[in-house]
Amino acid sequence: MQKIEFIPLSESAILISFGNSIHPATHETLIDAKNKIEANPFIGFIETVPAYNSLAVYYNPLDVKREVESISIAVTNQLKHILENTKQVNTTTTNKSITEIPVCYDDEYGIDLQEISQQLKLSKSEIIHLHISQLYKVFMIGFTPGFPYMGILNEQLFTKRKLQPRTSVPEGSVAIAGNQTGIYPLSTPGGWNIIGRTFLKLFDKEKENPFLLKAGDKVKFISVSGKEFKDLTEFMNSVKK
Amino acid sequence: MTGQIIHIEQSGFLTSLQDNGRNGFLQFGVSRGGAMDLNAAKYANILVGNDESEVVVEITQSPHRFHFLSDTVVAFTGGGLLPQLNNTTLPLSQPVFIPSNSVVEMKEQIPGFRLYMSVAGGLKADHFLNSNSTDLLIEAGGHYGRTLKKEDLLQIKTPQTSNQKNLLAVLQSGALLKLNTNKPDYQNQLIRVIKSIEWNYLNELSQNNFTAFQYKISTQSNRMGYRVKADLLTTKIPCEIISSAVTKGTIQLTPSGEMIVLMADAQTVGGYPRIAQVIQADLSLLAQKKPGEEIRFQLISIEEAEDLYLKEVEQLNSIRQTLNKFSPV
Repeated sequence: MQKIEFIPLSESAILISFGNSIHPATHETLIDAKNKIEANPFIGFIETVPAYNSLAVYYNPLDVKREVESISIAVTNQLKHILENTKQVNTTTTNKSITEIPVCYDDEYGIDLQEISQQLKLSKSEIIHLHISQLYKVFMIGFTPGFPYMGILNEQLFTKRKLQPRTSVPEGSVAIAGNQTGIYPLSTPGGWNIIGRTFLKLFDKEKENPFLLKAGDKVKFISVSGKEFKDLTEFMNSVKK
Repeated sequence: MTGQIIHIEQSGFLTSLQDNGRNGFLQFGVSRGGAMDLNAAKYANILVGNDESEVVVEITQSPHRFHFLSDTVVAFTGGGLLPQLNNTTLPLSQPVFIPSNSVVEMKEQIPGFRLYMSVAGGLKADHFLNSNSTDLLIEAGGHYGRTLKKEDLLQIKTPQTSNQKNLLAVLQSGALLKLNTNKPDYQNQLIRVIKSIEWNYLNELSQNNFTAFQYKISTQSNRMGYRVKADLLTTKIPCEIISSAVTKGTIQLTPSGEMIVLMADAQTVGGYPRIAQVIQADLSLLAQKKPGEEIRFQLISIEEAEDLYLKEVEQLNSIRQTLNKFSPV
C-alpha cells in the first residue's frame, strides 16, 4: 500500500504523491484517484495532471469553500474525502481497448537504430521484435502537446538519452530512452533515440479532439513496411476533415 | 467599417495576443499560457470596462507603432515602454481616448519589460482549446498562432456596451480618469516564494544560499521560463526526479547548476527537482523583469502567499467597483 501524500504545489494546486517509484499498479491507483476526483469536482476544481506516481490537482483558490483553515488545507481535506468515500468509478475513460500504432522501422525513419544496435549488442530486427512484442501503458502526456510517455520497456532495450539532443526531430518519430518509449507529435528538439516513425498524428490541432492518447491508455506498436508507410501517409494527408 | 481598428506599423520581437490562458488541457501537455503579467492584463481590461479575461496585446520591450483606424478607448498597464501620441505621453493605468487615424508610438523605455494594451470591446482572436491566447509552440490561438508583425490588422470583437460608450464620451470630452492606485515598483528585486516539493533535496547550506544571494536572469530567458545561474546550490541526492507536474512560478534546479523559473508557456511536467514556487502575487513583478536584471528570494508560508494573492484580487475588484460607480447607468 503506497503512502499517499498531499503537498501544495502552488496557491492553486495540490500534488498528490503516490510514492517514489514507477509501477503499473501505482499508476492504476493514480488513474483511479483521477477519475474519482473528476467525477466529483469540488467547488473551484479546474483540472488534473497525472504523471508516473503523482497527480496534480489544479483549482481556483477564490472559489474554494473553507472555514478558517488555509485554502490548500481545505482542498486537501476535500480531496481526502472524495478519495476515501467514492466507490470505483466506471467512466468511459476506464479504457480497456488498445490503441495500435503502426510504425515503420526502416533505416530512413529509425535514424538511431544503427547506433543503438551496436550499443545494445542486438540486431535491428531483435530490437524491433522486442519493441512490438508487448503492450505499453501511457503513464503521462507531457513535454509537448500529445507526447506520450509509455512503459515499461523491456530492459534489454534500456538506453541513455542522446548526449547531443537533436534540435529538431521528424514529426511522428518513435523513440526510446531509459525504461520508456515515446512518440514525438511535433517537430521539436528531442534527445531520445529514434527507432522508427508513425504516420498517425499524436496531436492534430484541426480535430475536435486533437489528442490520440491520454494517461492510462494501452498501446501496441505494429511494424509496417516502407511502402505501406508511404501509401498510408499519402492517404492520411489526402483525407481532409 | 469592417471592425478593423489597429494597423500594426511596427512590431517588436515578442508581441502577441494573450488572455488569461488555457484551462482543461494541461494533462495533454498543452501549456496554460496566457499573459505573463496576468494582473496587468486583467487590470487593463477592467479599466476599459471589458471582462477581465478579454484578449489584450502583450507588448514586450522593443519599438512599436500602432495606427488606430477608428476612435478607440484603450488602457495601457504594466511597464517597459512609454506609449506616446503625437509626442504626448499617454498615462498608464487609466482608460484613454485614441482618436481615429492616430499613431501611438512605443519606444521610450521605462522600468519593467512588458506593456499591456486593452481595447474597449475586446479584440478578435483565434479560439483554440478553451482560450484565445497565442500558443507559439502549437501555432494556434491569438493572431494566427504567432507574434504580431508589420502590416497586421487587429479587429474589434464586440460592439461596445453602453457603459463603454459612456466612458468613450467622457474621455472624448477631455476628461482624464484618474484612479487612486498604488504604482508597482518594477525595480524591486525581492521575489517571495514558498518551499516546493523537493525543497529538501537542497542541503542546509544551499537552502541558506537560496535566500542569501542575488541571482541574475540570463539571456536564455523567454515566455517558457527564466534561466538563472545557481552555482551555490547543490543537492544532497542526484539532481533529478521522476517527472511530475510543474506550473508557472515553479523554480527547478538543474544538474548543470542553473535554476529555471517557469513562466506562462512552461511545459506541464518536468524531471528536475522543484525547490521553490514563486507566489502568485509576485508573478507580475517577475514578468516585468528582463535578462540582466537581478532578483533575490524570500521564503514565506503558503498561508501568507494565499493572503497576498487574495489582497491582489481584492485590489482589482475595488478598481472595478470604482469604475462601475462612475458610469451613471
